[in-house]
Amino acid sequence: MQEIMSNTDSSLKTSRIMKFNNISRWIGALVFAIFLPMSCTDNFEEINTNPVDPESATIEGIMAGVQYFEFAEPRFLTWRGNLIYSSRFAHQFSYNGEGTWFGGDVYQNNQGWTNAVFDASYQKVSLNIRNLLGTYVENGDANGAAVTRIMMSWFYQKMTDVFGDIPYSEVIGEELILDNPQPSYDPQAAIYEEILVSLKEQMDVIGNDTEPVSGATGDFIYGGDPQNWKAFANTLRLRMAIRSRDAFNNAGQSAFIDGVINDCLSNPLIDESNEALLSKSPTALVLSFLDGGFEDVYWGFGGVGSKWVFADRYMDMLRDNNDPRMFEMADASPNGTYNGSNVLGRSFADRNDLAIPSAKIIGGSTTDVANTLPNQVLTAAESHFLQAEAALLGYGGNAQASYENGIEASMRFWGVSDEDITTFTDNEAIAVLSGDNAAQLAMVWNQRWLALLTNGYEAWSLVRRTELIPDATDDSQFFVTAPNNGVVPKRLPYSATEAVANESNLRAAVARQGEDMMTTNIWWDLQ
Amino acid sequence: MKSIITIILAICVSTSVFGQDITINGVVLETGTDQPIPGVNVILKDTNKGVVTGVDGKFTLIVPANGMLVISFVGFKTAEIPVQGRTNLPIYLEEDLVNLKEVVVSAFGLQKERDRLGYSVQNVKSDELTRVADPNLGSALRGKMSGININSNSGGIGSSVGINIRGISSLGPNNQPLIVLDGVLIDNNQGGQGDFASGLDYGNTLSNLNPNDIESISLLKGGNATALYGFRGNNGVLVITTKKGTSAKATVEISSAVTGSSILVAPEFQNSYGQGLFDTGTGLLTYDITNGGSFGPALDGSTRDRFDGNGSAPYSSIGDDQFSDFFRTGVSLLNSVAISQAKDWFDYRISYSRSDDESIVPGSQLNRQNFSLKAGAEVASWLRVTGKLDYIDQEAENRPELTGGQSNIVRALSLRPRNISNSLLSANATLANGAPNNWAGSFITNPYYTVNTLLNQDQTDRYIGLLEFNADITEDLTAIARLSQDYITTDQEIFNPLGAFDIAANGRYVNTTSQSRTSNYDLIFSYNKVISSNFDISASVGFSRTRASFKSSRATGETFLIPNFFSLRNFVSTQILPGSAESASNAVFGSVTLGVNQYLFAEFSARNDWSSTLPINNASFFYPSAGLSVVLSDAIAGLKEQSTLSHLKVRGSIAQTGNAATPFSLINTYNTSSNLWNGQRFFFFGGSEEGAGLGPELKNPDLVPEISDTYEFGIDARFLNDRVSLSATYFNIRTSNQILNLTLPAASGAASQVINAGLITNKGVELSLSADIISTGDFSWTSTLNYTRNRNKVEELADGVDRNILVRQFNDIVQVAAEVGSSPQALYGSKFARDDSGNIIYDTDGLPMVSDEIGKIGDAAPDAFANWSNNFSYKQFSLGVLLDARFGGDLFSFSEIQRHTQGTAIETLQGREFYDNGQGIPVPDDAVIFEGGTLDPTVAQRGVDPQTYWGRLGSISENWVYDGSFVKLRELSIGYTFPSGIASKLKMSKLSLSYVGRNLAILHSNTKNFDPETGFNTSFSGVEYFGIPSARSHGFRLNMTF
Repeated sequence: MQEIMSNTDSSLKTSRIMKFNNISRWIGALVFAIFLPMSCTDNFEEINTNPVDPESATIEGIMAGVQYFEFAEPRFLTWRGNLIYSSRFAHQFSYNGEGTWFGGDVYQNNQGWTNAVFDASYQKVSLNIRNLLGTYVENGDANGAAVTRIMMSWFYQKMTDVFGDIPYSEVIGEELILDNPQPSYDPQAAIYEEILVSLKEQMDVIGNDTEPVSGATGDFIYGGDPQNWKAFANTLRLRMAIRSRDAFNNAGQSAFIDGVINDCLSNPLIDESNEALLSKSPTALVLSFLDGGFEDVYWGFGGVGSKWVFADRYMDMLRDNNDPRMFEMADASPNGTYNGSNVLGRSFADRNDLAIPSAKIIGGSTTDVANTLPNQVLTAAESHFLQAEAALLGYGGNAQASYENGIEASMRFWGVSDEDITTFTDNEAIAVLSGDNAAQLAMVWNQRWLALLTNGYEAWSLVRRTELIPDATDDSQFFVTAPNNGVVPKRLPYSATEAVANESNLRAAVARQGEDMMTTNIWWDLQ
Repeated sequence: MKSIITIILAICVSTSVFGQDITINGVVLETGTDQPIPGVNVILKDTNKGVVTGVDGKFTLIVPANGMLVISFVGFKTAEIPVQGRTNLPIYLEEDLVNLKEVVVSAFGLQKERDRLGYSVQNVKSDELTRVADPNLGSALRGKMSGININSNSGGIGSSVGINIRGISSLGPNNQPLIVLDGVLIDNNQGGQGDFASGLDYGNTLSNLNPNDIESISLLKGGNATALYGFRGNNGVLVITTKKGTSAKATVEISSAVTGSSILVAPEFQNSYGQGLFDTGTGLLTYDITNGGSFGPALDGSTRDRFDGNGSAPYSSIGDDQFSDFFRTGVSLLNSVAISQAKDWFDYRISYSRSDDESIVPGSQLNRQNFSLKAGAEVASWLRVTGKLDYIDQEAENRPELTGGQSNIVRALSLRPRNISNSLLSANATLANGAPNNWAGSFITNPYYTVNTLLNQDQTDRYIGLLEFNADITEDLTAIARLSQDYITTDQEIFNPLGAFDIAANGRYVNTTSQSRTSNYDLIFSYNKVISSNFDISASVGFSRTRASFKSSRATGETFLIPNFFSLRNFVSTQILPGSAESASNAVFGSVTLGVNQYLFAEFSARNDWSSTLPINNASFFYPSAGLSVVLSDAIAGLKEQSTLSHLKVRGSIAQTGNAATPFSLINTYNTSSNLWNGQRFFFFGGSEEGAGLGPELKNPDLVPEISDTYEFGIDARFLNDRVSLSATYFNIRTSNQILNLTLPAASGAASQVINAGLITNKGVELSLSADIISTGDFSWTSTLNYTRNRNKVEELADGVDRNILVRQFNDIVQVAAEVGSSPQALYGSKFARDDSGNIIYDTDGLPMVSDEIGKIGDAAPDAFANWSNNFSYKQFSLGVLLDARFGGDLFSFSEIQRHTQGTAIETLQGREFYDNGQGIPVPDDAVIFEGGTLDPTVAQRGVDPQTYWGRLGSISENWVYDGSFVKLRELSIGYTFPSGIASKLKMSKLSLSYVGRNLAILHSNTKNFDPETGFNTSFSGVEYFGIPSARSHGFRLNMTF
């Protein structure tokens, strides 16, 4: 133990200790010098710059994104908003086939889906389209700004028709981020009036200009052609004016709405040379997840769970009138029949009897969209049927001619041959307006309803205004249950997210409009 | 910074010079082991002249030849040694078992006497961590401490473990503690977890450390304890110290454990009705192989179409055990060998361990190898260099798919129609083209296909390196410089064979690679000076720099060219999605501890951080802390004598800490579409172009640091000659100016914006009581009880906002939200429609109606935790029992919803007589009917059919909330240590064998169909969704030391 430090060891240590302070000072200083940064925040801004996502974008890139979100609708959204809700409320499609996931009581609110329709629509579209508007305004492209405002009007018309009063006037500006992120809700009457006025303003801005707007390659509908967008704006005006005419009349604003409709009719409207269609992308966007949704929903999930069928009212009307569109829209059932299923039925229909949506609607698989028809944003058929309705309402024009043009435009859209079209128009009683004014209006509405297949939002708005779908009353065969009791829902309730994050504004809207339920009429729905 | 250098250099220069007489070169050793003891106070009696021994136990001191040295160190008896002219002086200190002053590891791994601390620190020692041979260090920590909540995900082997210390303090994404391994800030990132749609749990990186390498883990809980770690330590710090060589003789330790696991809880099913549905239109029960539910006709033993429409199969009961029978006995091997030595001027420890874990889920396995080398060398008498290199190699195959994923086997086994047996599924698992053969109507893969097909594999390589310099600059001043890096690279592959997954039916391959690097540099100067026998001072100042970067690349190929050849070159389309996160921070810090009369201690610390994630003008934030502790039993003479009290300390501390933002939180950036769309790649704001993808999450260029104010006080007391000890702490944490993603109204077009707002408080009590209940020669019984109670409350959110959604299922079936007045883990969902008096409203069909609002349905924050461990030893035998309990905390169960709506749960038997014209589920006599309507008279008489009833209840989230309390028998071990005679005959110094058991039983729970300790994502709790069942394990562990 005594030898724990030998003498040599000890002397060595002693000598080291004598140098000790010098060495450590040098070491300490050296270590500091190597590792100390020049400043405590050196390079920090560079380090905190996202190397993956850019801070700027091209106009065509922003425009393309807005068109995708607004007009194609991502699968999740279109599944809920377009398919499960509105296309079924409008009795076009049905999930009442064996093995599907969404059979049963169609008129029940599922608040999760409802939240998605509100939240996903606004979150995908409204900020991005404000950004597009802001970009055009900043670049001084007046026509670009006008086109963007027209696209905005289309979007908020869809939203107000689903919910009634919605946030509008505070969310259509040029700023990307709202100063007040809790926008108030505007009454639907004001939204309609403002959009009708705004659309006219955009038409005036465009005037006779034909120079394509910047970022035209991102405009898949019109390639940036301002005159086509002007016709679009005018037709959209007519759609909204016809829909809201009774409500404006009711409010003592007949002069206003008559003026709008007459002005619409005296300006170019969409025809088959410039209908607003959005092609399916030939390449999948998010790989499996295609745009537009119908084909993806149909193929993308197990077995027959997501595979909807046609509604019986729809198939019956095609079949009973020898409508050649039937063979374009549907393939025969395994039993060779062209039947649909009742939307509200308590029994699941036998799939062997049910017609199958054709490849023009659902393609061949999640990735095969070669035969799929474009999304119908605003069609020539709809334009003609609107003109037919205007004529029947006494605004001038030839109701029968417009009616027939509408049917033919729709048939051509679905790929019916001219020969078959002629056969139909020559032979079918339904191709000729007949009966009293009310009966003729009903014929126009039914044909417009047929032409709106896959655009559930518009079809639902149409049937709400026109009472086209009779109430279900036989509780033993159909779900005649609270709260709707067999009546086509009048609207969707508001999003629960708004109740959390925008409570006082939401309360004000509910106080004005009525109980936040599916049974509450919105402003233009007087029935 | 420059001024600090000046101060440090000044300290270096100002070393005092002592008197003339003689120079002693001494060394302080421990009696018995001859180990040198560093840090010992050596003082010339009755003066303030003295030194502290170096890392080698040596000291040099100039004293009068006839002086008397007083040598003192915590845990040892103080010795008085006369110099007697000797210059070469070995001094032996005896361990003071009676007056043991506990030393704990505190910030930066610095050892401190517990008495000097104004805050509570809890330690877990090696043997407690490895007692039952849990290969996952995270889950091995369960039940060992107070103030900590550990949630293991139910994601199968190697899945993530969420650790939360003293409640949720931040509404930001991260509430996990900092983990420091031998001074190395290590990355504890998630490798990926489940979401509400699907997902695999890749575990967090704490899980892949080798438990057998750990010497101890210190849990630093409060702001004062963690202040020196800055914002990274804001959620608490786990300071992990690994073993090192300590014995002069080369020692070989071998630990070998084998455990077998089996399923702990299986749900109960009905066995009377098979596949199909009740047609409410025709009133018929229909066998229907296109419908995935089990509301078909009664199982009657007849022969019907087989589930896949191919041939026929018996339509009879499959029995109760088919769920459990699907799982196998999991086998886990954990072997490790370590060689260590400490000799002369160097020490080393080399270890290798291998963990081979076969899950109870067939086909799922995880293999891990850990290599570790830790060595220290005294390169000069004043300089010690320590180096450490760990290499971890982990690979896993077939991690189970979670939640709503198509190939989730638990979902498959829970929902498969009750006439489809395991053997039928197994014998017909694949179609001719190799795709799975599924039953229809439910988007679920045949589970036998899932477990017999390679669907995913992953590989992790991890390197943890450390270089540490420990220098004695003067007798009183030491410096530590550390350079460290934790580098993790992962490669994850997901295989979707042709036809196997509906949403990628043409085949898909996802290959994600990532590299994560956390590097750190610390320089700390410590000054310790015993001024006199009644006053000492220790101080430290330091500088620290941390840089963390993460890069990932996710490549997806879709639609095979050649079927089932998984190469990115073999797909029609491919997509690459890069990811990145990077941050840096710098800090200066300092602390001073003053000791007066060895019983009054005051500690002050301060730190300033600069974080790259904050705006440059707000990047700097400063926080101070102060602590005070008084050993009353030493301060007040006679306190000990008059009672059974042997030690009493009171302590208190107050601290402020801060927190920075996550990287890239300041400037809005565009997302780009993942592929061309109509030939154009587009730009947008938002999470993804899919509709369910998050809306735009807005950034904020004006963020400021989040601030937490903490205080805590408590006592540490020992009684009956230290046989009973009690530690009690009250803590109060107020976290304000939260950096949170505030949910914005969807109407604004954005989903959320990161802002500074809100205030969250955590107020709680931690108690730790331990006792040597019996301590005779042969028999001993020690018992430790830990108890934690915490009130976690959201006091404020942003102006005009009283609820903020943190997580939402995409159909809002459940949301986790922070609500003012509630905890930050409130559960929201659809509720029963009720009238003004609170009665449930029924429709005229006798079904409860759903309210349109999304309302509060529960709160996932537990009220309290307790764990109780008992260790007995008798001669060579030992017995350890650990009970672990959680009180309160709600759970929302997706599994229960789906088992009921699909008609497989045993509860769905009620009312099936309805289908034979009997009584269904009765509507309450006093049921309130919607808008004054009247109940359908048939319904009033016959009740409601169960299919329709459960269908409706399935849409009412409120019905599916359960209390998550539990009491578990967490660990049981029975050990035998062979007598040294036998061991030495085998040339061993120690040999022990033990039985080990983990998670043996749930002694109490309010959920009978699943283990309430469940989850699929550590960033929120309170949601159960077809998790892999927890397992009970039995095994043996053999420890040999040569």
